[in-house]
Amino acid sequence: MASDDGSMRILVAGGARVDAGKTTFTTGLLDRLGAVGFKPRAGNDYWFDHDDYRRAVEAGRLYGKDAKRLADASTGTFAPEDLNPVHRLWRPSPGPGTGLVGAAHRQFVLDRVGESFVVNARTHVPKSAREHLPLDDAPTVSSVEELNEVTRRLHLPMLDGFADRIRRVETETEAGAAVVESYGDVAVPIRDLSFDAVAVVEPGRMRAYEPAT
Amino acid sequence: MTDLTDPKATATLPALPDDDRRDPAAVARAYADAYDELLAVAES
Repeated sequence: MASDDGSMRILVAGGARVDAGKTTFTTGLLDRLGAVGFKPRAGNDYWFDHDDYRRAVEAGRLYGKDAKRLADASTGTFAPEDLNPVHRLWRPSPGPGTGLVGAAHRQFVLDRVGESFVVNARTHVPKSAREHLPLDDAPTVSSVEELNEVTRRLHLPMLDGFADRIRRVETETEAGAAVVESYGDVAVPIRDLSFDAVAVVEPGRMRAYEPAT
Repeated sequence: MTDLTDPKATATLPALPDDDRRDPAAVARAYADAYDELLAVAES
């Protein structure tokens, strides 16, 4: 239910892990509402999204095309990083291994958390990333336990603070509306943030749900 | 936790050509019926 103050917050989740159409659906909804879009967690791949990777990294930044599309479609002026605090760079993982975080056929290379970075010590970091991103003093992880510890220390506080940022932006925009896009098939991208409706998007179909209260 | 077995509304999303997919205003027009359904749930 929309808030008494007239603000509205929608969660867009995907029924399929990739290419569900979430971002296209979200950009149209932003246009419809005059809203601001957020993608708390995002990721892209050094190999499969190489043009997007190069465009960002050569400018000393790390973001993906989804966050860029949300920034462009939002009411107001935002950089992709304003709307997407946590971005993970992947690369293909040859062979049967599942990589540090257990994802089949790909391994995580590095994370951007706000303006900081976390580097996987057990994979090759592209030379272009080392040249253009401030990785020299970035923490490295070489086990799931270390990644979990860094996640507790960096990622989770960043995401918790981002919930406050979403609420603040809502109050500052005329429409008072926010659309939050989930990452992959992760249903709830951020803790402690309630929604007025949940849209689950898959190719050719949208299902709308009332969120649990 | 949201009950994903009980949608309050379902809408068809038409396939879009690439040029329209990249244009939020064109998406808003093409998906207008779906947004109507979604916003009705949000405002209920």
